[in-house]
Amino acid sequence: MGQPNEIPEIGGAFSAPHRLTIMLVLYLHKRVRFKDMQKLLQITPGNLDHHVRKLEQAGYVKTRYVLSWRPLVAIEITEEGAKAFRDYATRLRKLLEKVK
Amino acid sequence: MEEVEKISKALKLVERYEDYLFRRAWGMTFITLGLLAPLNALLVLKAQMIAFILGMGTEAFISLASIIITLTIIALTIYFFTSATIVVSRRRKFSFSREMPHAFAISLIWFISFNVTRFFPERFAAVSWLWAAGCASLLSYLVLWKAQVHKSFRELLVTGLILLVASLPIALLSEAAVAETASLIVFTIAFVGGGFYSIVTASKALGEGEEAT
Repeated sequence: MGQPNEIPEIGGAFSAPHRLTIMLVLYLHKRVRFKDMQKLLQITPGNLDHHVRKLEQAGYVKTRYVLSWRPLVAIEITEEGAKAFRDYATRLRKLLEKVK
Repeated sequence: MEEVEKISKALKLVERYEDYLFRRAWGMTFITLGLLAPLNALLVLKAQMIAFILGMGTEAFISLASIIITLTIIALTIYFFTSATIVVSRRRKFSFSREMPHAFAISLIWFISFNVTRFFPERFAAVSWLWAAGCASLLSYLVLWKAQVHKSFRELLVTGLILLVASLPIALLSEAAVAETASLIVFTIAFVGGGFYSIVTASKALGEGEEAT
């Protein structure tokens, strides 16, 4: 039976469940509006900002203003972030295969 | 397996986000249809005058306007839904496969419904649009309900029923011009209203449900 610690840490950036969710949503959709992410996670803007900053520091995401009928901030996954998440998913899949 | 639990919770939220994107795509499509289809009808009604101003033949103007508006509706619909389905297509790469036969079925339903209107008698020409849109909305609702891919879109059911019920008194009108105007108004109100309702409820639903952690 595999243990959770068999999944190598990715710079600690995915340690918090919220950050993992942010990365999964961004990996699948590339760009998500800040407001939508906040509603989805049901957290305060400040809390989301904290998680996004952590991921930004790791180089996994970036924020940018997008043109719309009102000013919008969007969170976008970087190439590095997508690669890191793919690696994480591969490791997780391998671990699950071992468990099976 | 703490890691698996985290992923499982995150995937549930991704599903909720997908539902939100699809409902928003439906809403945007409804608003587009509710504004552009009646605009096309208005341009056809005023074709002679506009064609004269533009210095072109009436028939040529009607064809040009219809082609441009139809292509715009199709292009925007494809854009709204493809931007929502990026999630699904990338999911496949992530090995969470998901089939989408309902998308093909719904496209076919809308295509057939509006093409069938050509075979209605002349006196039902105006109201046949409402029947086509009403039936297409109801059938789309049934397909999504049967497929159970996303949460059922009640907006489709309500919009379909409103269109069909409102079409009955309009079908009884003997004055063609009045029937045409009434059909256009009902069509616009039903689709634009349904579209806005869909977007607002989708946004509300995004923040509902259990917390992420």
